[in-house]
Amino acid sequence: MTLEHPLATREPRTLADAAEAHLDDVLGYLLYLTRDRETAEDLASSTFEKALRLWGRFDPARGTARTWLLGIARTTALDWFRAESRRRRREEAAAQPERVDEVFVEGLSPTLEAALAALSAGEREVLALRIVLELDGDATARVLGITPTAVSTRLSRALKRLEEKVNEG
Amino acid sequence: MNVTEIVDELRVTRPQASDALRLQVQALATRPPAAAPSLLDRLRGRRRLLLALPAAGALAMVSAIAIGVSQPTSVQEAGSRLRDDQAFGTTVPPTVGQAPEAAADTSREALKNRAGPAGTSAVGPTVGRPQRYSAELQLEVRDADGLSDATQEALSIVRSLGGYAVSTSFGTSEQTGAASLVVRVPTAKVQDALVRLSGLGTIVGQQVQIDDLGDQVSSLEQREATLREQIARLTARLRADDLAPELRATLNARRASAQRELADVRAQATAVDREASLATISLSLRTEDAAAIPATPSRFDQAVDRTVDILAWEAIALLYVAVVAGPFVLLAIGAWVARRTQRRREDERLLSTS
Repeated sequence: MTLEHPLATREPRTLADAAEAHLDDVLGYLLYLTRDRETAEDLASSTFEKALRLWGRFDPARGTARTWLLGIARTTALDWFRAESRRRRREEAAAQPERVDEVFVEGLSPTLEAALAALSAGEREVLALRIVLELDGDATARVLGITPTAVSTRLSRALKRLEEKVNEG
Repeated sequence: MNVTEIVDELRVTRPQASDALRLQVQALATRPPAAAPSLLDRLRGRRRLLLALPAAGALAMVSAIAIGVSQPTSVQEAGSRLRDDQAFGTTVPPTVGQAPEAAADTSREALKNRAGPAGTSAVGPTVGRPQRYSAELQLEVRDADGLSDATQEALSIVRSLGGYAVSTSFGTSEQTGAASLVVRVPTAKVQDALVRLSGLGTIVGQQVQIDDLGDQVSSLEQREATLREQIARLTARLRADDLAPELRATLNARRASAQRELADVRAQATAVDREASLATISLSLRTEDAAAIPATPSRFDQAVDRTVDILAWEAIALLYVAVVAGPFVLLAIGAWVARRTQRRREDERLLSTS
């Protein structure tokens, strides 16, 4: 059985269609945010679980399924970051290192990988949305909950920092 | 490595989901939902509010119309009661120039019948009883010339009966016009005056009010007798030679006070006597055209009026609720906005440090 959205037109008519079309986008975004493939896959799975519950509320008139799914992915990731932050504070005494993959995106040059790792999650997030997933400014702004102008500024700074880090390395 | 090369590399290496994840998510996405989303679930937040506001407005409108249509006769009933009061001359306040008079049109024939051909059915004063007698008489005359003649004649009648005019106003425009006279005539002749004044035109309204002044007169007479007795007693005591100076002064002051009060009481008694001896007649004359009175509102108009009234009350109630609840709603919105802003800042801080 598939859950079909009554208002959908050109957008995916079912969540299964949306998952098929946008799973790579959701995973890519989460991968750039967390820098850990295992975590990103867990969060992607959680994202689609939430999406299944919320599919009835999805309104194609207010945005694409891709943007909607990325918004849910962001909320899921933020919850994870909060939990991680608390866990890290608790385990600070034990000084356990943060678990991240050395190579979180296959095919990236080690220099670029290292430069991305040096950026903050917020900077990687805007790069993932605007550069990797090629979302336009408005859609990115909708996912991040900021204005398109703020998206441009944030992207410009992130690219500049990434370039600096790459050339430093 | 420049930005263009970085961008190209990032795009070329765009992450792909593994087959295992793809299968897992597909299995998840094709699962049946826990429960089909209800209509309310689909109408969340602002959309639900957008639907609720016009629905509440429509409900208010429909209820106002329903009440307005189901109780359309109350205004008419009130008007009828008022007309009946006027016709029987009970203690309804004077209606000349006031809106309720306009509603009296339909009972004009009834008034004529009740008043008789020359207004002789008006209640007269009771002989031997002090009474304040006031009457209102509304007459209709043929045209402006008739109005002028009737006004002159009315003044003449009043003078012939030993009365006088307190105020007179007269106005005409081409064929229409109206005159208003307030006259005072001896109470003993008020019946005669009403009969003769009624003959100046067609009676369209008549009201008589009689207030008995007997109790007031008795009270004043009693008070006057008491005061006289008190003054006599004080005078007798003051004749004594052995009074202490302080006591004499006190008694003198008390006698002077009683004398002043006696003078007041006598003045009041004189005024009451005068009030009882002269009746007040308010005479309204108007031409037939000027007397054209708007027809009683139709049942539909009454229903519309009532509906508008109810809507106005609903608006007042809504305003009241808004005034009372407004500060709390604003506080709640402010708290919500502050919490949301704080949460966003926390998120940004979290992402910038991760």
